[in-house]
Amino acid sequence: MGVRDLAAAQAVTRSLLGKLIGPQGIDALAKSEDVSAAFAFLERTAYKEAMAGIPRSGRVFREVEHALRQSLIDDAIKIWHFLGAAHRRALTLLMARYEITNIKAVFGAIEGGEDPRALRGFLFEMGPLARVDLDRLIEATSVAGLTEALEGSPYGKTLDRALDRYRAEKTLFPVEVALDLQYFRSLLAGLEKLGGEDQRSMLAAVGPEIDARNLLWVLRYRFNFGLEPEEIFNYIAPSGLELTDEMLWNVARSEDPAEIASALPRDFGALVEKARQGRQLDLIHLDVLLRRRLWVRARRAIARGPFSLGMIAGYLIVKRIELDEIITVLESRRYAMTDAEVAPFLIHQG
Amino acid sequence: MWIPAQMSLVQILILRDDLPGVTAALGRRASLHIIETRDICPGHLADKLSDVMRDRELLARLSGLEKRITSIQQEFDAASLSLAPVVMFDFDPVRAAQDATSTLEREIEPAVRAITDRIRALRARKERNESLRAQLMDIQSLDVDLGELRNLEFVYVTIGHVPRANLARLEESLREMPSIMIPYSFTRDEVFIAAATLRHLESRLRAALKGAYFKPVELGEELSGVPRDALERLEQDTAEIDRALKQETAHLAALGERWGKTLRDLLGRVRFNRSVLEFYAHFEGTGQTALITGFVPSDETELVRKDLEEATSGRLVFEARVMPASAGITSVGVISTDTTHPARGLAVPAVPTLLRNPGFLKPFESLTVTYGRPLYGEFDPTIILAITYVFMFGFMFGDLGQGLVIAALGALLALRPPRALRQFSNAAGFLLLCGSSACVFGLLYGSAFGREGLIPAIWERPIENITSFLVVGILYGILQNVMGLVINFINNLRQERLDEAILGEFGLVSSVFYFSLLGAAYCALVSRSAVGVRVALLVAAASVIVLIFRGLIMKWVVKRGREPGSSETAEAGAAEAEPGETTGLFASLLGVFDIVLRHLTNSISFVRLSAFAIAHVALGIAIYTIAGSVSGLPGGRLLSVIAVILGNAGVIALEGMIVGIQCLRLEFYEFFSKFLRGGGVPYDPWRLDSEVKPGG
Repeated sequence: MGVRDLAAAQAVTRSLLGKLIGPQGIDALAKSEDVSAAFAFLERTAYKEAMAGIPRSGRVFREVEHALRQSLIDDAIKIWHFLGAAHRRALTLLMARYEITNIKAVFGAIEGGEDPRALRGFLFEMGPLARVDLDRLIEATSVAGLTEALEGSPYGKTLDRALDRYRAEKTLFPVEVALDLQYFRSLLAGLEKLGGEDQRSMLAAVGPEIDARNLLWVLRYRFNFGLEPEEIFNYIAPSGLELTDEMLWNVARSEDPAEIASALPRDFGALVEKARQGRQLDLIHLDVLLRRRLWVRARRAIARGPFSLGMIAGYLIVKRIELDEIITVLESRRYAMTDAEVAPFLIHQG
Repeated sequence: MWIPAQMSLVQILILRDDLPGVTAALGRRASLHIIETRDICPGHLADKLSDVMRDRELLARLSGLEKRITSIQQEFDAASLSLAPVVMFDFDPVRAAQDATSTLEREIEPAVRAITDRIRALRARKERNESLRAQLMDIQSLDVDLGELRNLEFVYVTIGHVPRANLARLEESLREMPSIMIPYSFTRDEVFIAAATLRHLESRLRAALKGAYFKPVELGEELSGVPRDALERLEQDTAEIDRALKQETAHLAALGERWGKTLRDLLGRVRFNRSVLEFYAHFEGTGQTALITGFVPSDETELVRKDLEEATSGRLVFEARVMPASAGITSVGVISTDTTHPARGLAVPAVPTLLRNPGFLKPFESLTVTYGRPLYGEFDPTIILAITYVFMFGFMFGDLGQGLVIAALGALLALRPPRALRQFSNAAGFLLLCGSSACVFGLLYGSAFGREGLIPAIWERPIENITSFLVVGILYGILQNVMGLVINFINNLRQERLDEAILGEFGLVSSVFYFSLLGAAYCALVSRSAVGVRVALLVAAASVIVLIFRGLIMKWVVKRGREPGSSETAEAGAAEAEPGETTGLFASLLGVFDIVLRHLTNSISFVRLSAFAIAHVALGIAIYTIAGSVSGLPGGRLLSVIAVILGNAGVIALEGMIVGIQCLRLEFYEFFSKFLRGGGVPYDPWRLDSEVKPGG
């Protein structure tokens, strides 16, 4: 496997990469006066296709957000068609996060006493990347029914165990953590199977995300949830690219931002320092900073491995972050926030 | 056979009063692949079918009832269900739901549930006993009172299991805590552990275990004394449970006898009504009319029309439009040429693909579908696959004796398959054809049961003329590659993809390049014409230049009004010509390099045909060498016969399988990849779903 097998998929990815609006586009979007102007701006870009399915009159914000995010999955499906079997498996594992989002949404609806069928239009259509039957999923009326619908799927066993805790603790937290962990473990195991240059290039793109996720999870569990380090350590994904278990263990035991920063490699430490407010850590700001770092790394993965599988993963990450920014800007227009208020949340300005 | 069956988009406008008759007629004919009418004509008809026919809750209720009835039947014995052809019931979903609910809730379910609850409780108790037994087995050598273990004052001990994937993290998380963790038993997904720490650290150990999704084994209060005694008591209890289970199962069987027929009747009615309601969900209507839309094989439209005319006494509008081959790729069909038609120019959902191959080609068709179901209008390569696959198999595995064994196995599966092999009976034709081909080539090569010289060679023996044999393999490869290029060209023309036909990866320009290389090779090696070589290479170079700049050409085409992204060529071309992309030219060169490489490797790849044929002879020689060397031992004659039989069996099983895989590889990667896009939607006509025999 290599350049030859990926040539067509890379050509498609490159064409999709050219359709992104980029930081300049985000800045231009941020100049929109209100939500309608922002929607109109997007209709002049490649996102026009994504928004085409939504009637112009009476656009619901949630529908637009969903359609934009769905466009990322549609891109992945386009690329998937041009890949060989092993690469397809890797892409399916990478995109499984959206299937997991679907499952979490249905869980949430059942937990909140809503009819999951009402969610149908807001679940991501995974096409050939699907590993669960969405229609079967939304027919579930109880957590037990949902588990039954997921039986035999890659998520069945994970949920089996998590549900024991869900029943005992009456919170979806263990279910969500179990699904997230499974996502990263399966992804890394899948990359391991790919081996060679494919694995290396994918890790260059995906690894920084795992690092960022692990760091944020540890900090949230520690400071927001007050969990014991021993418990936290079990909730983090296998090591990503730079943050080792040792470092994360030390972070989990740290008491203040200075201690956290010293436990991490220099560039992570600098980000923690930047997000520090006295003895407190602004986790939202740190999240933005980490996502910016991820964006930079993903761009680097595209530039350094233009003919690798990592380039495709890099594109998907870059587009996801662009979508996050677009949605942030749309939200800001919706709630009439000023430019100064929204700027700290914009990843490329962070 | 060469292309999927031609489909017609059918729109049927009927009076609502005729719906039951039309439903029955369409359900019985089973020709209509339904699509959503609203996808074709949004807002065309104000949907007034809003009463029972649009009642999603009723539909869900019927589906739920169906599940409830079948789950009770499963409790009884699913095998007692008798199947029968489609049977019509009255379409009255409300009544069907009411009757089923009332019968189930008042009579059947309470009686069944009482027994099944008891059975479940007994089984759960038995399972728990088994789980406890498994735990105790591992610690039966301990001479410790289990009660005391639970109540240690200074040490906290727990036993249970965690998912295997979580074990490493759990071990890491405990590394700084004074604790012991002993994994003592592993299953596929779980690992059983015993963990202990000091009593004052209990909460930290529990936190770590919780994080690892630990499930403690509850050594319940009922377990006391040393493990050995506890085990004995458990086994006595399990024997009692088995006796009780037997009794309850007999009670359940008696209920099954009593209610079996009633349940079958209920299921038939519920299933029929649910099936019809689902059918209704797809179309739209006014107060008086209903509009049904779907795809029907063009040669069946007249039959469907006649059925419907009969069912409605001629009161219907039946419109059938043949879908062009290009509809499969663009998914936009011409709904109406009438410019005032509201549905004009709208996207039609994917036209389904119906492959019509004779029964004996079905195993080959399933191979084609494994690669990718042809799109509507796309070439169906099944027949060519069958011919070339069988040819290549024989070429690589030419052996009269071994071929006969394979063919005989195929005949056995077709005529009288043994019970253990019955599941493979659909491979009968496949084995018969491959075996026969091996026989034919065995005669040509003069090879039988791996023995050269046993029979005369009609053609020539592979081992005696290796070079010319390798050339034959390549020549065959060229032939099959050319076939792939031609099919690709025709496919694209049929689907109106001129850009792909000319500039595609295996389009006309790429084919010209390939043919000119072949021409150059011919002139250099056969006709010895230097001018010919030069001309051919010049043409090849010109084709390469066109291919390098196909990105720019496509960009120019796109600018001239073609939709960007209408084909991969356009998309890839546009990407390659992306201004500002530093990798653009390099990518384009790489793309052309890829095309050149694929042409060459795809042809050379067929050398394996000859290589395997030669390897087959070598294996035969090895078998008889072994047989010869054991013949000198005591009982040598018998040993030598055994060596020949086992050797031949091994070659048939292993080499036969490898050759089969190699054939598939050549078909998929060298042949199909040139023209078959795949991704077609299977044709799935709607049929009435009421296969349970009704009573009365």
